[in-house]
Order: sequence, then C-alpha cells, then structure tokens
Amino acid sequence: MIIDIKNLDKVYKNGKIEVRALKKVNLSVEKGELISVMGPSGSGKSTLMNILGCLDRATSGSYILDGMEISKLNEVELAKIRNLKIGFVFQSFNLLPRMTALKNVELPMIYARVSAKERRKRAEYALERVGLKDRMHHKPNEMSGGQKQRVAIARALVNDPAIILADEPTGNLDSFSGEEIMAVFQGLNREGVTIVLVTHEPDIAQHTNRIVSFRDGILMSDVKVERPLDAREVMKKLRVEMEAVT
Amino acid sequence: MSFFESFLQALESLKANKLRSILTMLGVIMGVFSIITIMAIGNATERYIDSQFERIGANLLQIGYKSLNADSSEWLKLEDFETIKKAAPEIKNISTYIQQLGTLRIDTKTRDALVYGTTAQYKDFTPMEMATGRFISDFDVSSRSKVIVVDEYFAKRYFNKVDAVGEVVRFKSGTGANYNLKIIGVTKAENDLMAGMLDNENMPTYIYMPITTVQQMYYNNKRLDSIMVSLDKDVDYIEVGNRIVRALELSKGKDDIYISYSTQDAQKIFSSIIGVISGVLLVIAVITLIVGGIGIINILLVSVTERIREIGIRKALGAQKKDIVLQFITESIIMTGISGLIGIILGVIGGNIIAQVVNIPPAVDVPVIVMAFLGSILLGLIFGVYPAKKAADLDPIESLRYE
Repeated sequence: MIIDIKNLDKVYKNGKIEVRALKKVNLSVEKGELISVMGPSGSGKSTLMNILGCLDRATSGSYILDGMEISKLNEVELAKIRNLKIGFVFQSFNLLPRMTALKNVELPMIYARVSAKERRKRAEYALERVGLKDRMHHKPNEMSGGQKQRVAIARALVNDPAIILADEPTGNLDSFSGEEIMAVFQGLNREGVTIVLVTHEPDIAQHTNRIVSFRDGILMSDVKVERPLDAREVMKKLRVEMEAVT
Repeated sequence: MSFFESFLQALESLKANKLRSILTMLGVIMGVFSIITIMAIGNATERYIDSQFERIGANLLQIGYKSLNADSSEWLKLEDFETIKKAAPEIKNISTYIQQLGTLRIDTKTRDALVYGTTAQYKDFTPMEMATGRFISDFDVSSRSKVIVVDEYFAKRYFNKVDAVGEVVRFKSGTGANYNLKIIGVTKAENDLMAGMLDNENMPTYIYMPITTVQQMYYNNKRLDSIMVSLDKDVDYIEVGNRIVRALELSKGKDDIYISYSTQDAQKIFSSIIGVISGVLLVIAVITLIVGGIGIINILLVSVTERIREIGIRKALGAQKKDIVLQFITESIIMTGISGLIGIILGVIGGNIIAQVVNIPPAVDVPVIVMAFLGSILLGLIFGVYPAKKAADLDPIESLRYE
C-alpha cells in the first residue's frame, strides 16, 4: 500500500466557527493505481489533496505514505517528503515563468541537492518521457497549455516520487489537450507510476481505474471503473470529429 | 539548496527586474560613495596638514601676549631675542614677523601687498623655497635695507620672467610715504591649495622685507606680534616655553603677560576640527546608507508579495524555510554587495577628483575599502532578514492559491 488513510479528520477553525472539512475518511491506494477523486466544490477533495500532498496536516487520524506516518512529521521533514515522495501537477501549471522548461524541471532536484550534471540528465529524460525534449529551452510563455502541463508532469516525475498528485490537471485545457494529458498519465501509469487525480469532470474520471467521490467531507463512494477510457482512442475520435467540422 | 544555486537564482531574479534593482541599489551606492569620499578627503586633509606641519618642523613655539592690549612696557621687541637665547640655549632658531598692508607700483600698474617684515631666520620656519636670488639677510635687518622678496607669480605677472632680481619696485606704505625697493629674491610658487588664490590681481601679493625696514616705514613701531622659536623634536616644548615666558616676564619686571603655544597644539586642534567635521559628514553618509538599506527592505517586501505564488510553488516542490530565506537574503546581499563595489569605485574616483581639484594627495586606504565592502554585505544580510523571513513563513497552500 502506498497510501493508507485511517479515520482522518480535518477541522478548520475560523474564529469561533469550526468547519469540518473531512470526516473520518478511510482510504487506501495501492502502488501502481490510477485513481480519481471526485466531488463538488466544498466536498473536501481539495483538503484531502493538501493533506495527501503534505502541504497540510490532518487534525486527527493517521496518514501513512510509502510506509511512513506523516501526521507526526515536522515542517522540515514534510518539505523533504514533498520533495522526494510527491509530484504535484496543478490546474494552472504553476511553472516559474522566468525559467526554461528544463530549469523548471530541474527545480525539485535543486532542493534535493542533486548535482548539476545529474540534474540536467534526469530533467532531459523526464521531458523526453512527456514528449517535450525538443522544447526544453523554451520558456512557459512560448508553449501551449498542454505543453505547459506536460512540463509540469515532467517536473512532478523527476525525483521519482511515490505518488503523483494532480489537482484538476485538465481544468485549464481544451478537450483535445486534456486527452493528451490523460494519455501521458495513462502511459506513466502503465510504467508503474501511482497517480491520484482530483477532478470534477466525469469524462476525465472515466480514464482512471477507480473513482472515489466525496460530499460534505465524507467519502461517499469508492468504485472500480470496469473499462477505463483509453485517452489515445478518444484523441483519435476527437481528431475525426474535428476534421468533420472543418 | 546550495549557496551557489541560490546565488544564480538571485541573479536571475534581479536581472528580471533590472531597472527596479538598479534604482534600489542607487541608495546604497550613494551611501557607500559618500562614506568613501568623505573618509578619503578627511584622511587626505589630515595628511596634508600633517605634512605642512612636518615641513615647518614639528616643534615650533610661539611666544605671544596674554592680553590683547599690552602696553608699550610689555611689548616684545627684537632685543628680547637675546633674553630668549640666554634662557633657552637649546633653541635651534628664532625669528618673528610683523604684517602690514601697502601698495606696490610697477610702471603704471599697482597691486596691493601684504607685507611680511621679518628676519633672515624666517626662511627656516616655513616651507618656502627660493626660485632665484636670496632671502633677507641679517645684514639687511641690521642695516634696514630697502629690499624686497616677491613670489614667482608676481615676478611673472609684472616682469614676464621669474628672475626679477635687481628690478626696482615702488612701494607706498600705510603712512602714505613712498619708497623704492630692490628685489633681491623670488620665492618659488607652491603648487598648492592656495596657489590659485594667490595669482589673482585682486588679491594682495605676499612680499617680504627686513623687519627693521618695515618698522621704520610704519611709525617706527618696535612692537612684535609674537616670537617664533624652533626646537628639536624630542625637546619638551612645554617646559622650554614656560622657561622662556618666565625669563621674558622677569626681564620686563611683570607677571603673567606672555604665553607660549606650539604648532603641536595647533596641529592637534586642526586634527580634531577635521575629525569633528568628517565625523559629522560620516554620520550623514551612514544615514544615507541606512536610508538606502530601507529602500532595499522595501523593494524586497514588494518582491516577496509579487512572488507569493512562486514561493508557494517552490515550497510544494520541496523548498524548506531555510531555502527561501537563503534565496531572499542572497538577493539582498547581491544588491548591497554590487552597490558597495560600485560605491567604492565611485568613491575612489570622487576622492581622487576632489584631491586633484584642491591639490592634496588622495588617500583611500585599503582597510577602508575592505571595511566598506564587508559593511555593505553585512547591510544586505541585516536588511534581507525581515523580507526573507516573511517569505519563508508564507503558508504554501494559500500561496499556491494567490493570484
């Protein structure tokens, strides 16, 4: 098991008002899974993402990531976990605009104190895996949304994390670029990468093997997807449709 | 993150905001520049004064009156030289001078003159050098010769040559009487602070005449303003001064009418005045520097706010607090460090230019430069701490959401 969450509670205190964002959540994810977390806004899925990503800590309950109890770690240790065990992919890409794709991908390794030579090698390989090796010297503003998100995925991959956490990764993309990203995720997943994907688009969730749904901080359902959509197939279909239109 | 990495990244981010970085740095540049310049000028002035005193001879005593209105029985006169020599046989030289105003006429041109009536030994009390001819002699003094020593500017201006020895000028004293004076010597022009002022038709020229001649021209007044005595360096000038004063008072049969003061005292006073002036200027310069530093804090805070999202991203990717702190402090140090270097370079140039203009040797010490540089680095460190801490304490979740 790569993620094991037991009886997780998260309470936000805002003055006298208490908000229970997560209520007694139990969830486990096996190594090599591709799982989506769904739910309307306010359902607690973002809170869960923050806790899974070690950006926030649960109020109570336990969270074991890759065999390590996270709820007992201090700030420095959390930073190290984020650096080495977790790869983030955000809806708005969150690339540093002044840096080239290559430099952006190298960034997590700078914090992991990887040597410059090794960094370059690994960053190039990561960009190759997402199909952007020829764009590595471009800056984010010279790239399309889909390309930016692929750079972000390369950045998430580069320290060989235990899980990739993707928060609405296709939210800012057109459907074709969205499928491209899902194809990258599915490809990585076939190579054994564990991916947790937060989305509110059912179409996107259908690309994963398992869907967990949240409402009002409670895990409502946890279902296996019998026949996940293959992003490459969907892309073919979209291409045909586009040609028909034009 | 290693220091080298954060150095590279800080440089990148400063380059991204070039104009802003330069404007911010200007404050610190000005501060360091003023400090270096002020130190250089202060040092140079002090050295200049020291060297001037050195040329005169460090141990010079002056005997003067305690009261401004001494009556004629208390006057110091040339005859008192003997009393002084007897009382203090260790003195090397003794001289005096009186100052009067007069007018010189050369053909149709006139020029005001500040007359120094003095003795042959006066030459040894000043850094004066002869360009040509000779200075006043003992014989000139005893025989009241009608001779005059002028300076090089005067000779060049009115005789178109330095060697004006043998020329005769017409001199009108303050009493209205006219005399013909023969030039016996021309003093060298000094390449000096005052040089420009001296070679000016509207300013009086400095001339030297035998003291007895001047006394005769001006109402036969025997009064001396003061007597100068030079001593060897290691002599206790206070003791000798007191001895001379006592001997003189004894010879006049009066008490408490003379005092002695030395160039060392004057030198100390000069030094302390310059010390106070440069101290005050230095305080102003340091304030400038602090204001510059506040500019840096300010711009770093702006930069933190602008980069909240970047900080959030970095934290999500595994940056620890210390990495963020390092990043911002490095930026601050690079800004102050570069400013310091530029300020030092400008300060050295400025100090040299001013030194050239007022003709004193420039004096920027290596320790001052090193201190200024280390000081600016330290300033960057101090001023960087608060913004850096602020950046590092940002909550990653909120920073990532920040638009």
